[in-house]
Amino acid sequence: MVTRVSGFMAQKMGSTSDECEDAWEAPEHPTGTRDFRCAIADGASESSFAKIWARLLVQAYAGGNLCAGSPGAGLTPVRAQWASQVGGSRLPWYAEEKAHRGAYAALLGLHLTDVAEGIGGTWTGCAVGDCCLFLVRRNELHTCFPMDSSAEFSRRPTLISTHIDDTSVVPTVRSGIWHDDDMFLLMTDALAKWFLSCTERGDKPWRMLQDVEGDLFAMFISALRDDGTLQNDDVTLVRVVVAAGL
Amino acid sequence: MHDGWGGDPTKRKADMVATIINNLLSNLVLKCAKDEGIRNYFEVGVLGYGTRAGSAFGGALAGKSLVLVSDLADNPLRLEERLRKQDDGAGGILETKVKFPVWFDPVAGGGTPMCHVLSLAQTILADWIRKHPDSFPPIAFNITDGESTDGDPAQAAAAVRHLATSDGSVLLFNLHLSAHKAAPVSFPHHSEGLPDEFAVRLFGMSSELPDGMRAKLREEGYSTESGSRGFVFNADPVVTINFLDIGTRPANLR
Repeated sequence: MVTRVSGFMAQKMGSTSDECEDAWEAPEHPTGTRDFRCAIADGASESSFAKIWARLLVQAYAGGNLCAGSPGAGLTPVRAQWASQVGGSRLPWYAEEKAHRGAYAALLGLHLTDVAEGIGGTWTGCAVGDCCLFLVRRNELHTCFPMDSSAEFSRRPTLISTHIDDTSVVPTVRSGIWHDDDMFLLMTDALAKWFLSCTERGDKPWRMLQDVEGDLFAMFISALRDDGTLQNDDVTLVRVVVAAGL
Repeated sequence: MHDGWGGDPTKRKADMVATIINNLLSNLVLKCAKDEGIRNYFEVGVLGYGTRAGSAFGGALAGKSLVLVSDLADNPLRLEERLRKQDDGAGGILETKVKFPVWFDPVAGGGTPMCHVLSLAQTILADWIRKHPDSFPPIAFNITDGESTDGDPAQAAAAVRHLATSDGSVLLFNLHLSAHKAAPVSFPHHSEGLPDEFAVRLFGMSSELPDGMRAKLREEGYSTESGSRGFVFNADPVVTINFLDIGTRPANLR
């Protein structure tokens, strides 16, 4: 299995890059692996230490420490890591209270397996919250997951919390067989909503995303914000192109 | 503010007002608290009016008309230690000590110079708008027992509501704490049925709720109509705090 992976982030307008509460993780050298995992996460702004939580979640998923189809099961040690990182130093009263209230994040993971070189394999997407996965095949949108309409983003999503006793994580899972040159696009909610709005008008927004590299991503996001078609929020895109390889 | 709340003599209005304001300010600080510290999404002012009208801040913030949220966070009058009770997951109750910030202590006495304090608010807000002409417009909450002792405040209230940034008009909302035992009212769209002339007057002084706030109130389970105003009468403190909380929840915070 040959995978080409690219990841891009752009912080909310008016914020610094340090203030961005999104995270993503993918293997550094994915080509040749038969078991590939990557993930994106979007920390909830109203919670504190959400950036740390988002980072820990994507590392745990991409590192194989969370079940590909049911991440809730492996959360206990990740939650303990968060508590350890947050509780280490003496905090002012408001930081103590925010730490007590916990952090929240949306998580989207993609797991690819390869049966054998040149034959193909399976893909599994697992989502909690409103990050979205789009599968583009031969220049057509094949799969939208877990949302398939831009109108769905008005609801408050359920997120993964750092609370030890929170058992409410109910992931949405989708799987299928990947084909040669399939492109998987993982996006946090603002970009995903824009993407779906475009498809609802009959456009093919992946054409703009399939070639973007380097600083062009930030320019592209700025242009969308300037023309009012993209909400001002942290934005993350991970692009995975998979080939059977030989 | 010596009278009871909703006719209940055990709940002094002054005590409830202090609790409401301390809770609101605490919630504002917590909304702005991030990993690296406090993000100054807001500036806050509190004007007291009784014997005199002016900034109600004490301690390090004394005399300041408006303060950054970060300064508010770092300068309560004191931190009280209180016990928080929560379910321990095994059928019992776990008590943990938490720090509760106090910026205001209850103060009662003197008249209610509402015209004067609204005029003061107009001056402060006009100055802020000159410095921030394109910002989200300010929101003013008037917490009162309703009986202005320095004349009819309608004109002074209108002067506040006529201020505007490029984003919209200043919003003036009124929380009426009355000795009346009448049923609580929240966000009415007309004044029929309000229990007395002071409630009717305060309703008339209140801004209509913007569509965004109405949507958030609906999410929280409150019913509103087109034309609903930012006015609550003898509402339960939780309703009041939620209302103040929603009113200060910026659209760009997720």
